[in-house]
This record gives sequence, structure tokens and C-alpha cells, in this order.
Amino acid sequence: MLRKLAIVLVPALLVLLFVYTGFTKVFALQHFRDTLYNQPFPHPLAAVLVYLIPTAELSIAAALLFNNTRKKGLYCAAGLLTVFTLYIAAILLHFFRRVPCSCGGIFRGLSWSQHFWVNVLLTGLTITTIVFYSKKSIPSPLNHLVL
Amino acid sequence: MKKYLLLIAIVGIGAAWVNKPHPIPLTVHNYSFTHYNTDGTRMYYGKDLTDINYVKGFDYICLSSSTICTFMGNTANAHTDLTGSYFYTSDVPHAGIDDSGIYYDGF
Repeated sequence: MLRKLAIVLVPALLVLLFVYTGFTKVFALQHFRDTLYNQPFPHPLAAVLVYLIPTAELSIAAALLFNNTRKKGLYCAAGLLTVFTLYIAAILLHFFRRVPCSCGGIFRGLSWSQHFWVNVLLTGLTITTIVFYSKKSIPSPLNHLVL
Repeated sequence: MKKYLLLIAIVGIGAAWVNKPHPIPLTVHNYSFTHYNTDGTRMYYGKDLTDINYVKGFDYICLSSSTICTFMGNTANAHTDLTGSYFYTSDVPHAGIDDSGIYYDGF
């Protein structure tokens, strides 16, 4: 029951998340560029990420839509969420010389620590769903044999 | 393809459009930096950064809340405080300062 629920709900949640975050960036690309330039990494990297992050988010959302690419989409979602989570952890642990504004994240009103826990939750849900997907029984071709 | 996922994606696009960040007014808070005096009191300057060839997006940035500007240029320049660290102009009082004046806090 829990497995079925996760397999149905988590991809839906991730589609909503990545479509929302991806298109929010696309619709206000200048604002997203501003927030990236405010992050504590080099500007040339920010210039690439301006396009790379929304492209990755929307590609993952697209992959999750289709049955034959959903599992790969889940893997990519887990990877991207892990990268975001590690970046937020680095900020919270003061790996960088300054703490930037957290206003460029999923929900602009959240603090960095709230962002962190939301990301941890989403990453956990995604990884759990991948495990459920892996355990999903594959219908045997023998089942379709008419004897 | 599952139809409900497509429907959720369309809802997500709509939500993104409704909640997209709005551009900030360019006239507000695109200047101001602060120093600490040697006695620890804070001294505020107002300065038009564009007037000294600072480029928005490279040397400074203002975020959507419109009260937060972060300076990102060369740390050797005067837009850092005396500890050499970055700061937000949300810490700077916006009343009582102008483009050329000096505002003393605590006097």
C-alpha cells in the first residue's frame, strides 16, 4: 500500500516541484541571474548555471512524465536534490566566506535551514521511491502465455 | 504517459507564472555602503555605485526584496567593511542618508 502510494505520489510531487521551480526561473530569468550572482561561487560558473539549472529541472520533470523514462528521472531528481542539499549544508556550515540571501530557492520565504530540511525530506522520499521502483515486480512474459 | 502527471505539470506552470518574481524598481537602494569607525561606531555612506562605474550584476546586486543589496566586487575596494567581509545594505538605515552625505550612527 505504502509502496503503491509512493510510486504514484512522489513522481507527481517531483513533477510539480521541478516544473514549478524550472518555470519560475525561466519566467524571471534576470531575477534568477541576480540571485545566482549573489551566491558565493565564481561568476563564470553562475553564468553557466543560469541556463543549466532550469534546463536540468525541466528535463527531469519531462522524464518523470513518461513511463519508460520515469526511473531515470527519479535517479536524476535524487542527484539534483542531493547537490542542492549539499550546497545548502555547505552554506549552513560556513564553508563560504559569506551567507547569501536564501531568496533564490524553492520557496523564497524559507530560511537556509528550512530549505535544507525540505530538501532532505524530498531527497529521502525520492530515494525511497527509487527503492520501491527497483522492488516492483516485473511482469513475466510467461504470464501472458495462453496454454 | 500518465494523464494526471501532465495535469500536475500544467498546474505547476500556472503556479510558476502566478508566483514569478517581479522585477525590482531600479531607483531604490542601488547604493550605500558602510564602514566601522575605529571607535566601533558605525558610519554610513550613501554613494551612487553606478557613478563609479560599478556594474549591476557584477559589482553589486539588489534582490527582489528591494531592501537587500549585496556588493560582490573586489574585496580590496571600499565596499567592504573594515573586517573585509561582505554586508547587506538592509543593515544600513535608508533614512537620513543621501548620495553625497555621511550619516553618523549613535551621535
